[in-house]
Amino acid sequence: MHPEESQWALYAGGELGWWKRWRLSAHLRECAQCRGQLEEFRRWRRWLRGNDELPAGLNWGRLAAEMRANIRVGLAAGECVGAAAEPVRWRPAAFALPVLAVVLAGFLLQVWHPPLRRPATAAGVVLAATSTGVELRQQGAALAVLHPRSEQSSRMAAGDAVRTGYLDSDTGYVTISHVYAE
Amino acid sequence: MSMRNKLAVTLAAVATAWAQTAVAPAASTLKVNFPKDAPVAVIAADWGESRQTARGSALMLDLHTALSLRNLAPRRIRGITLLVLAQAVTPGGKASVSVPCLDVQPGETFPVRLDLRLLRPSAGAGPLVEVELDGVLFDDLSFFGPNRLNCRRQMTVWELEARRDRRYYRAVLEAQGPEGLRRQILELLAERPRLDVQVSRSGRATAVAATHEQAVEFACLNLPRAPLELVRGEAVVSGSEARTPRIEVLNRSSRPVRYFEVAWLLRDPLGEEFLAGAAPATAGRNVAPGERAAAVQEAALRFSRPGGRPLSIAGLTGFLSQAEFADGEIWIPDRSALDDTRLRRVLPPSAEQQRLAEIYRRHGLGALIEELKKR
Repeated sequence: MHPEESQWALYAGGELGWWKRWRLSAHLRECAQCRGQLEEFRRWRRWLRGNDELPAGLNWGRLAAEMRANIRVGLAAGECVGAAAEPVRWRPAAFALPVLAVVLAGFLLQVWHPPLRRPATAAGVVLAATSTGVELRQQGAALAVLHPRSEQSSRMAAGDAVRTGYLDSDTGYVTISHVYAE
Repeated sequence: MSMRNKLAVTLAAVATAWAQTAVAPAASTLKVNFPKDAPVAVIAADWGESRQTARGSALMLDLHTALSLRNLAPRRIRGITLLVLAQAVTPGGKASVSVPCLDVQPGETFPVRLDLRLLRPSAGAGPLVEVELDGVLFDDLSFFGPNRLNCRRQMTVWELEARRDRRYYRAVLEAQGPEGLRRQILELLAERPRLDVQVSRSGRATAVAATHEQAVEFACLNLPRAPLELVRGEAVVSGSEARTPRIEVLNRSSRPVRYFEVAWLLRDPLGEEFLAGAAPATAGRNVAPGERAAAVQEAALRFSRPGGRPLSIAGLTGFLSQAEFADGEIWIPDRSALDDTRLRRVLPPSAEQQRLAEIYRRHGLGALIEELKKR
C-alpha cells in the first residue's frame, strides 16, 4: 500500500516528523513508483524556487501612490458611516440598571413570600440549647429565646424541654429560659 | 474606584439593606396578656431594637423587649415566670422566661428582658407572640398564676436552693470570716464544662444511621438523706447520642412522693464529666413508701462541645436532684451532699450562687456581706 501524495509533498519539503519520515524512507527503498513521485515533487519545488522573481519593469512609485489613495478612500468612507449613527448613552444606563434591579428584587422579597420548602429532618420537632439560647425548630419555622453571650451560662435537657440560664450583667438577675414541645 | 462607581456601590448597598431589613412593628407583633387580678402589672415596655429580616422566602423576626413590671401584691416577689406562645409559628411549641432569686418589695418595679427570634415561612396577620403570666412566687412560698408549665414546683426549687446557699455562705462568713467567704465565692467563678444539647422528641436526634448502638448502664450516685434510692438505669447510646434514658428508683422514705427528677451526668472517654439532663418521673401518681417508680426522658439527646465538636459518651451517672412529697413539701440535696468533689466540679452554680458571685465581682466583698445580711 502506497502512502498518500500529500505525504510525499511534505516529505519533499522536509516537514514531517522523524517517525513518519523514517517510515516513508523505509517504503522508498522498496518502491520505485513512490521514488518517482517524490522526485516529481522535488523537481516542482526546485522550479518554484527558481521562478519567484517579480515582473521586470515594475513602477514602484505608482504602486505606492495607488495604495495611499485606496487607504484615504477607506478612511473617508468609515467617517461617513460613523457620522450617520446616533451616539449611545450607555454610561447612565449601566449605572441605573443594576441599582434598579437590586431595589426591585428587595421590593419583591418584601411583598412576595413563596411557600417555604421544608427541609426533611430526622424528627418533626427539635429543641436545642446552645451558648446563644434555646430554640424550638418545627418544619422550617423556629422560635428561639436568646440571651447575650455570657460566661456564666448553663444548659441542659430538662424533662420535655431544654433549658438555659445566664446572668444578665445589666440587671444582675439570673434569667432561665425553656422551650417545650408538645 | 471612581466617584461615580463609589456612589453606585453605596446606593446599591443601601437599597439592599432597606429591602432586606426593616424595623419590626414589635408592639403589634408581640402581645402581653396578663390577667386582670395579676399581682404584677406592666408599667412600660421598651421595643427598642426589634427587627425583621427577609431570609429567602422566610421572614426572621428579632424581638428585643424589656418589660418593666410592678409588684402590686402586699408580699415580696421571689420569682416570676412568663409564658411565651407563638402558635402561628410553631404550633404546640412554647417557651418560658423565668427570673428566680428576686427580692421585689410591694410597689417596687423590676425589669424582665425578652429576647426572642422567630423564623416563619411567610407573613401573616395578627400578633405572632403572646406573652402571658405563668406564675409569681412570693417570699412565703405562696404562688399566683395558671401554672400551665408547672413552673410553681421549679420556682419553689430555685427559692429553696437560694435559701440553702445563703444559709451556707452566712455560716462560712461566721466560721471563716470574710476571707473564707471570698475563697468560696472565687470557687464559683471557676469555669464548668458545658455542652450544647439537641433534643428530638421522636426518633433520632440526627438522620445519621447508628453504627455502634449499645445499652449503657447508669452509675447510681445516691446522695445522703435522699428520700429515693436510685436502683438501676440505662440509656441506648451511640456516639454522641443517648436515647430514652430511664432510671428506676425506690422510695426509701416514710412518705409518699408525688414527683421527682433524676439529674444525669455523662462522661467522655477521657473521664471528663458534664451535666447533661434531668429525667422526670413518669408515674403521674404518688409513689408509696417502699414502692418502685421510674424517671424517663422520652427523647433522643445529642450532645456536642461548644463550637460543634462531637462528644463520645463513655459513661452515665444519675443522682436525685429533687423530689416533691404528696403534701407539697419539696426535697433538694443539701450542701454537704453537693460538696462531693465530683458534683462540685460538674454542677453549675445555682441561680442564687451566680447572683452572689456577680455582686462580689462588681461591688466587692463588702457589698456581698451586706447582701447576705439582708435576708
